[in-house]
Amino acid sequence: MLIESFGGDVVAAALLLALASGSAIAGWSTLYGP
Amino acid sequence: MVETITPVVYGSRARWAIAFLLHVVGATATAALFGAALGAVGALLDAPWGRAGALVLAVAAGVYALGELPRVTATVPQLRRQVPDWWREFFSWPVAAVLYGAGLGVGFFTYLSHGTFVVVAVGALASGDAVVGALVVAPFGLARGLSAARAFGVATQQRSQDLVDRLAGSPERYRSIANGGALIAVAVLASAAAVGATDGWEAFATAALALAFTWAAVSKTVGLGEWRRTLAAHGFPAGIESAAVVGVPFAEALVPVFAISGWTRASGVWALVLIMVFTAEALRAWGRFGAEVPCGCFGGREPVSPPALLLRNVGLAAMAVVVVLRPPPEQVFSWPGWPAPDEYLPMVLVIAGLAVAVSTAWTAIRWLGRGVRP
Repeated sequence: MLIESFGGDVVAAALLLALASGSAIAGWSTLYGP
Repeated sequence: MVETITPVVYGSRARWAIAFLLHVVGATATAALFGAALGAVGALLDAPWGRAGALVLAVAAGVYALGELPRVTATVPQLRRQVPDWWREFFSWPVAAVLYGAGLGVGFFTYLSHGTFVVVAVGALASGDAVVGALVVAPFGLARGLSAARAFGVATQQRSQDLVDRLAGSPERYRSIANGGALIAVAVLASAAAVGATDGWEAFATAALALAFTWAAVSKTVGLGEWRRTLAAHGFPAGIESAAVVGVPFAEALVPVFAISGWTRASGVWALVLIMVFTAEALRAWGRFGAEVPCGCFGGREPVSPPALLLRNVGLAAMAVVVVLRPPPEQVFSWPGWPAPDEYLPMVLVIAGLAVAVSTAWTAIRWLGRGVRP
């Protein structure tokens, strides 16, 4: 149900996973900033 | 950032461990709330926007992926604020730990050196679902909070400073590769999703127009002093100037209000009227005072070059035309009807309560940001 926002198939699930991973990487990257 | 949550600040390792957990909870909770808010705003604006939404996400990811290449820069919107030092002196340590986490969770208020979080925020908005928004943005807060674990071994002020220097001086290459990889994955997958989706351009144009005018109205309201100075530079008669201080942001706010009420034709027509009025005023001001006159369109006082402003307004007008011509969608949000006589008192109490809550929250945010002690 959650992945229906982006089409509801395996591509949508992978896209959500990529966004969540990117989110975590962006959060980790801030450690090196001011 | 990391120096706010080191053992040297919290006295002992045991106390630091609790503070660290509270910090992680604060950062994750605010990030999740921010993501949920983005998803909810997207839902109000009729997201997901089919092929249009997926393509916009793919383009945003592509642009910021290119920005990770050496000698290429892609501007990342951010306020570059730092969490205030005085929080840890004024609040008890558990409260300070949660606040420091909470202050970092939204991301855009602080420093962002990569565009990945912008793309994640676009994804949360385009999902049109508060739960999806919370799920994709929460990892930002979780990772940001957990990364403070790097301070585990820090026992003195000197070592805390050494750690900050070491982190700031570490090479960017690995971070660029990680962020670039994630952005390329999003760009490719969003492009693939766009192939399988259909249209959505009209709904996206409506949302983009509503967001642009919301941004314009909010930036003027938040930066009221700058907006007043911008208006003063246009040399209006006093009456028009004072009416425009409130009148312009109010008029701009009507565009998103019409859009979320399902009155897309009214939203598009009103946006076109405003764009024409603003363009005519820009032309008059340039003619009279030169191109250095600030536009103040989206806050700030930097002058916008005439070709750039005209191009931007033509783009907005084109979107407004699409919004006018589209068939109106199903109503996403309905305003409450006029109350019955026995509902007047509850209505007044609710409105007064909301006004007090908003005013208290606004004052608290200003105090927390500026270091004003109540």
